[in-house]
Amino acid sequence: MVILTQDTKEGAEFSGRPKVVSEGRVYAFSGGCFSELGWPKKNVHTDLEFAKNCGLPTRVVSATQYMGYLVELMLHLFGESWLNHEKLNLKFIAPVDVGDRLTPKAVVRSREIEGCCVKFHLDVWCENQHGSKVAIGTASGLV
Amino acid sequence: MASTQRPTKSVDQLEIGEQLEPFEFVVTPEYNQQYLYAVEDYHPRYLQETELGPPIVHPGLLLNQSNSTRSPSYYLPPGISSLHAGDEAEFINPGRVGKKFRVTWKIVDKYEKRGRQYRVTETLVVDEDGMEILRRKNFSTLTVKRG
Repeated sequence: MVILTQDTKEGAEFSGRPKVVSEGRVYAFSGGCFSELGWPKKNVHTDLEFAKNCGLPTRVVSATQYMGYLVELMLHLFGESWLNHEKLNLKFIAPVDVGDRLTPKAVVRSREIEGCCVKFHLDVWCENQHGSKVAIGTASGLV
Repeated sequence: MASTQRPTKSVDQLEIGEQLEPFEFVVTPEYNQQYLYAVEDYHPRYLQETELGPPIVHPGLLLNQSNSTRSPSYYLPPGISSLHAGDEAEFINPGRVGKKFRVTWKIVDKYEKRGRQYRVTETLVVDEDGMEILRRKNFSTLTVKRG
């Protein structure tokens, strides 16, 4: 189901489902394929010692994991056609710890007529359980 | 096939225009479902065939597999890590489960900002039929272990 319609106004806000980035889900995302020997692979996302040896105070969740949350929100808003020539631009402004609860959000910043469609420009972000933004950026899509 | 020798240059020494060794991977239904679990997104589009073809590969999988750390020639010396600072992703076509994907990377910019070195890497994911799936500009910086 596509949520945005051609009548959706500037300022309309949307929120995805909050998700806890649990240890198991971090291993599944960043630990390599389940069937590989030695799974989960040690890296800055999955292994505290590894992270500390790289100068990090703790493990950090891969930003591509919560980029995935924002993509899910975009597909919810625009439908599957969003995967055809649409953009998501992000800055990662704060680290995400294993166990954090993240919520992807979007607000319509502007809209313009493109032929028989409306092109929407959104401000998008992910915020954690404290209400702090960890990723901010923009996305666009056609309805 | 991945090289077993350590690359002659670490990724922070690569200059603008230089490329990392490409990476290829196949997305099986099981591998796709591993990512569905990881991002808690079990939409039927990722599980069921349609008249358009096999299920869609979760975009989170393609984003993760196209990180430059996947390149067989990606190397950083001990005590150094790369942090993902930003990303400009263009989703061009959905990837399909069962396909083989090829990822290529090219360094397109290097700069310093607030005392930190940044590297910009252009990434392209194509499928086995040559169809462009995902283009990214990835911004990364380095962390160094002190002491």
